[in-house]
Amino acid sequence: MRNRSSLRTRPDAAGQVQDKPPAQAAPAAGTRRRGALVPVLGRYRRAEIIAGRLAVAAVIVIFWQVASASGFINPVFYSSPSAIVSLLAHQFTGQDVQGTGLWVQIGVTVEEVVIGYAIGAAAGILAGFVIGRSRLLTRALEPYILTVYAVPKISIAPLFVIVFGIGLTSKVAIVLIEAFFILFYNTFRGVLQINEQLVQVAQVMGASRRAVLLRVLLPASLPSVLAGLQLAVPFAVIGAVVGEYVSSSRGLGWLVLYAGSTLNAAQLFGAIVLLVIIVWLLTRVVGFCVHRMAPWLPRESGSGQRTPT
Amino acid sequence: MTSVSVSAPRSGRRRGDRRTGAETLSVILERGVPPLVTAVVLIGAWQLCVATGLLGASVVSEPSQIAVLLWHTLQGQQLFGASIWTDLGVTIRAIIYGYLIGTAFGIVLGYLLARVDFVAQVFQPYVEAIAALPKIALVPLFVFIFGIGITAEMVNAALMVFIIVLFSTFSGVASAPEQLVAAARVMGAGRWTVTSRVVLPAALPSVLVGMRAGVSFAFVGAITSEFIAATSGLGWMMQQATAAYDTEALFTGLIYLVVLVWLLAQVIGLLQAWLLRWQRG
Repeated sequence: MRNRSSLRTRPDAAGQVQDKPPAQAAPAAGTRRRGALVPVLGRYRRAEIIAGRLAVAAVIVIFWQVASASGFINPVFYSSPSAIVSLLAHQFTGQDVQGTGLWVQIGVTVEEVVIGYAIGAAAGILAGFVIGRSRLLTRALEPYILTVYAVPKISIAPLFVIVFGIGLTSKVAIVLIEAFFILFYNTFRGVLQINEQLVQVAQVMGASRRAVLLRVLLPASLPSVLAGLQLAVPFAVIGAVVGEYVSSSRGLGWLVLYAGSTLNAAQLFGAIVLLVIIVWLLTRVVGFCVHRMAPWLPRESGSGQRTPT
Repeated sequence: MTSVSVSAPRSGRRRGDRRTGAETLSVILERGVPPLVTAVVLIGAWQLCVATGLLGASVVSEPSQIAVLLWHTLQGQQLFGASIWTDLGVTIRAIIYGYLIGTAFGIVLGYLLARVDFVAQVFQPYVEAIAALPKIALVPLFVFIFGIGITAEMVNAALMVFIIVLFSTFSGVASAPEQLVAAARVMGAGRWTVTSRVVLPAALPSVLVGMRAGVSFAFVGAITSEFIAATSGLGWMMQQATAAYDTEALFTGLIYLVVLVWLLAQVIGLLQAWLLRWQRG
C-alpha cells in the first residue's frame, strides 16, 4: 500500500478505480481528506489527472508563447516554444549552426556516452566484485572509496582534457569515470551486503569457487548492480556534456555552450530538449534490458529519485 | 596478570563495548594502517613513475611539486592572479547559499506534494522530466539569464540540491507509518501536532539522506558553473589551469575541492547524528 506513492507509480494504475470511494470522500471533522497522509492512487479518475497534466502543460506553453510574443518576458533570453520547435525542425531537415545536420551533434554525444558507459560499467562491476570480496582490499580502500564517491567526478574533467586531448577520448574517459564509480559503488555495496551464510551453506554442500560465484554471489548482488546500471545513464550523459563544456568542437554539450555564448536562446532550449530526450530514451533502453535480465525485480518507473543531477 | 586486570573491569561495566586504551589502539591500527599504506603506495608509485620518466611530468605533475604548491597557496601565493582564499570564498558562498535555498524549497515542496495527492499525480510526469533533465545543461542558460557571477552559480547549485531534497522529502513523508498517524489522531492530535510530532520525525531520516547527497550536488552545480563562465572561484581556477596546461595548479584545486566536500559532508553527518540521536538502539 505504502509504496504506491504517486511519484513512483505509472499513471495506468490510477485508472483502476473509476469512482471516488464514498468513505474516503467524506472526511471526519470537516478537514479535507484527513485519512490521506499517504497518497492513495485511484481516488481521482484517470481522466481528471490526465486533464490536469495537459492543463499544466498547456498553461506553461501558452503562457511562454504569449508572454514572449507580447514582450512580457524578453524573447532574447527566454525564446518561445514556437521558435524552438521551428528551429529544431529546420535543423533536423537542413543544416545546423555548423553546417551539418543536428544528427551529427546528437551522434557525437551519444557515441561518447555509449562507449564510456559500456567500458565504465563493465570495469566498475568487476572492480566492485573483486574489492568487495577481498577483506584486505576493502579495509585498505574503503575510506577512499567513500570520499571519492562524494566528490563530483566532473571536477576531473579538465584533467582529462589535458591528458587525453580535446577529442573523443577525453569525453569517453569522463563518461567512463562517471559510470565506473556508480557501478563500482553499487556493486561493492551489493557484494558487502550478501548474506555470508548463503556462501557458507553453498560451500558446505560442496560448491566450487566458480559455482559460489555464479550461483550465489552474482544473483545476490544483482539487484544492486542493475539499479546501478539504470542510475548511471543520466550521469554518463552529464559526463559527456561537461566534457564538451570544458573543451570540444562538436556535440550537444558544445551546442548548448555555443548557443549560450552567442545569445541564441532558441538554440539553447532546443539543445536542452534534445538532451532530455536522449537521457529519457537511454534510461528506457537500459531499463528494458534490465527488466529482461531480471524480470522478478520490481520495475523502476521513470527516473525518480535515482537520477538527481 | 595484565589480561585479567584488563578484562575484569570491562565485563563489570554496563556498556560492554567500552574499550580499554590498548584495545582502542589496536582498533586504530587495524582500521588506520591499511588505508595509510594505500596512500603511501599510491603516492610513492606516482612520484616514482614521474621520476623515472614513465609518466610525463607535464601531464600528471609530481606529488612533491603539488605538495609544495599546496603549501604556498595556503600561505597566500596567488594562482592566476587571485589568492586561493578568494577563490574558495566565492565557491563556498555559492555552495552554501545554493544549498540552503535548494534544501528549503525541496523540503517544503516535497512535503506539499506528498500531502496533496491530486497535485502530486498531476505533477508526476513533470517532476520526472526535471529529474531526467541533465541539470548541467541549464548552466549556460543561467549564465545567460543571470550574467557571469555568483548568482548563476548559486541558482545552479540550488536547483541541483532542490531536486534531490524534493525526492527524499517526498518519499520520507509518503512513508510515514499510517498507524502512528491514526493513533495520534485517535488521541486527539490536531493537524499541526500530527505534522510536527509524527510526520516530520518519520520523514526526517529520509530528508537527511537527501541533504547529505545534496552536498555533492551543490558542488557539481557551483563548480560546473565556474567552469563555464566565471571570473573567480575554485572551478574558475581549475579551468584557468587547464587552459594554461598547469597540472600542478589543477591538482591543487582538486585537493582543495576534495577537502571542502569532505568537510561539508562531515558537517551534515554531525547534523544527521544529532537530529537522529533518538534513533539509536
